[in-house]
Amino acid sequence: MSEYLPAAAKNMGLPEALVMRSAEAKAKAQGVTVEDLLREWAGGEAATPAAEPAAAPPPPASAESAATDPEPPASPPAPVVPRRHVVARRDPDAAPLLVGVRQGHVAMILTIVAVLAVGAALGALFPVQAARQEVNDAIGTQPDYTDQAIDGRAIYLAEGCWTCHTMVVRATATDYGLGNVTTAKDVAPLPGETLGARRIGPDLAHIGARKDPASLYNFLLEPSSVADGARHPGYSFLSEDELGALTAFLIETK
Amino acid sequence: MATDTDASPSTDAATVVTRWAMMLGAILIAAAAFLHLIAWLTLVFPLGFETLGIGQFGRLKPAADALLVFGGFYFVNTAAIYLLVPRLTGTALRDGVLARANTAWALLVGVVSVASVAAGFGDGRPGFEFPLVLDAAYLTTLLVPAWITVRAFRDRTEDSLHPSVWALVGGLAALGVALVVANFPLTEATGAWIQAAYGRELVMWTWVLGSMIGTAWYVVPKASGRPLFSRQLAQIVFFSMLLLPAVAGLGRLAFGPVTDWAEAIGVAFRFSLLVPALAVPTGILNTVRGAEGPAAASPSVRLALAGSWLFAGGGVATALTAFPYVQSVIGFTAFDDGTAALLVGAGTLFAASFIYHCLPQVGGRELFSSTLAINHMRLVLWGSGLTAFFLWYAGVKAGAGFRGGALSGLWTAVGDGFGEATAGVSTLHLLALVGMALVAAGQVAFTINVVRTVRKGAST
Repeated sequence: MSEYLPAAAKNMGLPEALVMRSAEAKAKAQGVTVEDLLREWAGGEAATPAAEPAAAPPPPASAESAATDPEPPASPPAPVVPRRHVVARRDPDAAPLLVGVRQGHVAMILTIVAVLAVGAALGALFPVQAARQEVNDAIGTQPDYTDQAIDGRAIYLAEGCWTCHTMVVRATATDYGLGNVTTAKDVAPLPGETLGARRIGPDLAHIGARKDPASLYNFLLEPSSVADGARHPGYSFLSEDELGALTAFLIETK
Repeated sequence: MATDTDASPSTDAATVVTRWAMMLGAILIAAAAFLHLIAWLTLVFPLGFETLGIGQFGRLKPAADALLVFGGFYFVNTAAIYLLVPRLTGTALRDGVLARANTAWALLVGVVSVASVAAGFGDGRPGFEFPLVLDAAYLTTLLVPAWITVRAFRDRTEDSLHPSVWALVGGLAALGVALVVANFPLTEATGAWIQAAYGRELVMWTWVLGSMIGTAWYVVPKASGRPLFSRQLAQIVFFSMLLLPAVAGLGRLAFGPVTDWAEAIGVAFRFSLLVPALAVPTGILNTVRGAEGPAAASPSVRLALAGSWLFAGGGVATALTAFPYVQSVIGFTAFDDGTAALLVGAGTLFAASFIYHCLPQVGGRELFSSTLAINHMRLVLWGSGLTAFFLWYAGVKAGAGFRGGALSGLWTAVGDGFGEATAGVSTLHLLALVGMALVAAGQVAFTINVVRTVRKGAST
């Protein structure tokens, strides 16, 4: 291990293993020795290629360029800025592999926050507010759920019934025959995300109007006892009270 | 293939935490793939333990999704933050001990949260089923990655910011915002529906895919030896994946109890997801083009390319479902699950590309087996494709069945009519299981490769 490695790692604020690997890659790319590179990074003199090719003579100026720019101003030497971040290169003259944008991180963070805020406003806050206004108009016009049914709604959510069932009838031909189209007012008394996203089983928006409590209770307890070949799982692991609450919630959903 | 060696990997706190985060990410991704397989298996072949509650699809599917997004991808993304943000800002990870403590805390919170969903204590917010107190606990796991990012910015010596940094910071911020907005207590169903749609799309597209694509902007040039094709294209991808998904979720709620203007912008933003879907493979393919020799064939490059193809497929499918007529047929069917299979497959391949490239650096050992990595890629690629195909088919078949029955007056999609409308769908679910099994096998190969790289890889 090089004697300069600890100093270089400390100087760069990077782990020694990473500095060593970077030095090996860069030394190979630039044709210098790892030792020279580490000495440079540790604060010593700059590394020079082991076999520096002789500088090519400057190309002769063309007549045109000589005519238009007879005495080009001498460009000032580029300031030597110690590189603390090692950039992998294919060869010394190639474009760097990792190129970022010269910018401040505060501007970056503010930009990200601003874009996320716009997205949250358009995608959630304004649509939710619009739905709430519609719901507020419906307060008092919808029958409230009983306490038992509200307990049942919590079971409906916790058991993930919504992963296979929806509680929403859309205004589309596909949902024709499922009952009245669901509006925000209709589901106002349904707190929580009960509307669902998948119909592996049938829609339950108006199940209370189609089923009687006893058959529904028995179906949830032991589906095959009510419908032969039913693929619905049984919920016999729920207590009698829990099953009763779940049934009440579904029956009151009309 | 690498051989056993006695060499010890690096033990400083920063590299240890990054290595652990990568390993945990790989293990949890594989666990989630298996849980996902079991969940769908219960739909086709009741396994007999449904009566225990924990074997219900309604519990297993949300638990599998949470394990993947808030478990596997959390650790891969934080590993990327711990490794790449300091590196690309010219600093070093100086809070390794804090990061280690946070990794342990995140593992505890994640396991308890997923277990609570599987045990029937979920709060029923799709995509965010953790009980509210655990959501709050989970939110605290973002503080350390955020602090490490802020500290890296404060101490940075690079005056430029690489697109990977933008993506990782944007993903982290998006997860925080999604957790807050999607869990904000509301009292009516429509609002909760909108919240869930917003949160799920933002988490999938910005946190999972956005961050992982961000790592690809670092890994692909480094592994292939070719400079990034276009920094501007990477920025277009970043901004499109930061803004569009937040609103695109509304497009899934077409014809539902959501105001018309919200549906309209949802449709427009959802269709606009074509932009990142096409820009990502363009950027990666053109970066790799011209690479020669072993660099072009390196597992990291090939996995990133494969991930970009899956991402393109999932993105185009998502954009096509923006059309209200399409949504009226395939909405509420397994079609979206097929699309999700492609997007998740893409995310895991990008994650594996990052880990295969960077784990040898932080582990001090060579990749255990490039062959295993390529086989992992093939399994996930084919598995995701098969899953998507059969679930898409199942979705179209079910949707057409609902629509055909309603229009012809032969049946309605409730009661016995539901069975008529969805006849044959179970067979397609069964075929999709083959794809899910391939994906699960691929993720096991991934985990083996990662663990054996850390423990048995040849010393670099």
